[in-house]
Amino acid sequence: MSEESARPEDAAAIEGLDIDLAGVDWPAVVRQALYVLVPGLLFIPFAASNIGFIARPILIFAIIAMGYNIMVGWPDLLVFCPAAIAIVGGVSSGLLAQAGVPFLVAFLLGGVAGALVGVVVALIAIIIRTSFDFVIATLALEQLIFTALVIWAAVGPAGLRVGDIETPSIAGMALTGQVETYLFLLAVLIFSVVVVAAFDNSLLGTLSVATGENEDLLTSIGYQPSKYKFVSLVLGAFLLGIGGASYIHVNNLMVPNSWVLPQTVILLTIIVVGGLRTIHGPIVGALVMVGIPEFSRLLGISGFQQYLIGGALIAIVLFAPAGILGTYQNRVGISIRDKLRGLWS
Amino acid sequence: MALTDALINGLIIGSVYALFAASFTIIFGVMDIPNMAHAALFAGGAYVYYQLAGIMGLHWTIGILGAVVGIVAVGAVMELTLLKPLYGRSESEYIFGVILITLGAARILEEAFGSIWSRAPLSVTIAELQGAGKSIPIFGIPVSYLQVVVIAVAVLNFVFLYWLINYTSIGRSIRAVVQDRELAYMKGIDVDRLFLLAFLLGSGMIAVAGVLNAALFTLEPSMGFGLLIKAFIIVILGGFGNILGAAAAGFGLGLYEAIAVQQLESYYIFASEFLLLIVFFLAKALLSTERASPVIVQLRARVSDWRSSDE
Repeated sequence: MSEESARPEDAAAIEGLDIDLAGVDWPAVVRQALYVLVPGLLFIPFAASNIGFIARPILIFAIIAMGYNIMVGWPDLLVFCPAAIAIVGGVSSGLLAQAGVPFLVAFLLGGVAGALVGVVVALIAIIIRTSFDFVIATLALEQLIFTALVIWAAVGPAGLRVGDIETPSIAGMALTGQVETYLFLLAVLIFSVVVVAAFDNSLLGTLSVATGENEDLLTSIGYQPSKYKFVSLVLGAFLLGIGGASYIHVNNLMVPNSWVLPQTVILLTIIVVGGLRTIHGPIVGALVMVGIPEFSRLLGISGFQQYLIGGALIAIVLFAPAGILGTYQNRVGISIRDKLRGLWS
Repeated sequence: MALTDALINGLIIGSVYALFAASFTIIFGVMDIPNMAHAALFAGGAYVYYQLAGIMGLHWTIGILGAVVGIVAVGAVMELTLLKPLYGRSESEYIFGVILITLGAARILEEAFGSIWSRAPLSVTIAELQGAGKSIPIFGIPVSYLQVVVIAVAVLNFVFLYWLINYTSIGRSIRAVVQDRELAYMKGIDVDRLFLLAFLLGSGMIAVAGVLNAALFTLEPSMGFGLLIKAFIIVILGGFGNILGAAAAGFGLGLYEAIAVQQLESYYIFASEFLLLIVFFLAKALLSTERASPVIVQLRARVSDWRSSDE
């Protein structure tokens, strides 16, 4: 404190640099959203076809992976319980909708439920600073949540089915048709892209990256790494919860048994293949990891998704650790490291 | 009566846990590799045995030998092509890369086993150790020959590892690498070769464990998944890379489950284990900071740090 008062200009600089949403380059955020919106709208004519049917899981997994990427990519924390966060969001949202809560409110509360699990993950991350210990602790948390859901009478081993009771609708538009569902999921994805792009563009995102790169240095220049870990983990978990809610309202069913480690590995593969810490990476990852198996199932070829996951993980780790989009962006030269260097010099 | 029942069951389950964890901790302790493909190698050993002894009808010794050789070969390929390129990376990239790449290998192996030998549970027999009447009473409880063999193999396995680590030059190198990898390298220990050796040793041991587990229960591609998570618990409770610790923790966990199952539903037992794991890490992180102050003082300091940064 005394040092800060001795050099007031530094203190003011640090204060001004805090969350700083006004400093976000909103046109850039809009541009990032347009990259998704334009192709998304161009796809509408196909939304009612068989290919449109494939778009649903791709969009849902892209939304879920968007949130997961914020948790893993920016603060460089290998969180191993995204599947559990997603099902908590989905199940909470489904139960609320069954209880008569309006659809959009229940949908957003699914995100809030995910964020609450995110708070637990954040507390674990703040206390446990060894990366390996954190991996195993979150892996254990996922198992714990799975066990709790199975024991809980409202969900149980058979899972939660919502479709029989409520038909999700927004302003009179029911989410039953394939095109309506597509548009709804596209809107949620655009919302996620805006959140991620704004986060990445704000100082908050840059400081979250800094916690992963060099926590001690960040502390020494007067920032509190725990705060940025907390924000990125809770924000990411919120989007994960939203993704889980999207899943349950579109598919009507979420079974605890399919939201454990194998699902976590799929989500991890999506963000790693697409590119950690890239805004559109999860979409690229979902197109590759969900789109290819679903599309080839249409063609009558199936059963190779596990090989695809395994092969993609190995190939990316060995040859392109930045992922598809990250490798592309590094070549083009947009690098977060440059931004950081500018901040510190 | 119920207690002796639980003790014997715990000893058998504990032997399986200890066997799995011993080979896991060799790789983990030496190379810092939490080998997510360990469960796949475990199942792989059993499938090779099933192919040789079950389908082709060869003698069980050839089956076990073939399982060891086969899985050691798979391990060698994995270490040389997948893991070795990662050794030069920074610590956080290394852990990240190793976890992802072994997860990837596990996916491919398990899928391959499923498509070669079917995903349905298979039954495996070893040297006519199973079957009616093939049991001896211990404190009035019938224990099958196979179960006796499993317990014996688990104990012998630890004796062998203890001897290897404490009384051989390889063991001395292993201990040196576990303590300080760079210093060991400077002292002229061929760290790369030792990594390969540790991985092969772990692979060979897990192949035998897989055969025994498949004979005790059934053979499925994902039969090792539950054990992999248990192995984390065991290795962490027993101390990283600590062989005797793994033995004690493995048998301890088996006994705990066998006793607890008489009082609790199995879901609650698993939940208690995962909770223990999280609490253990939290306690370890809070206690092992440089400031040697009690946990509560540190918590308070962290909270006040947090608050002051908000102002």
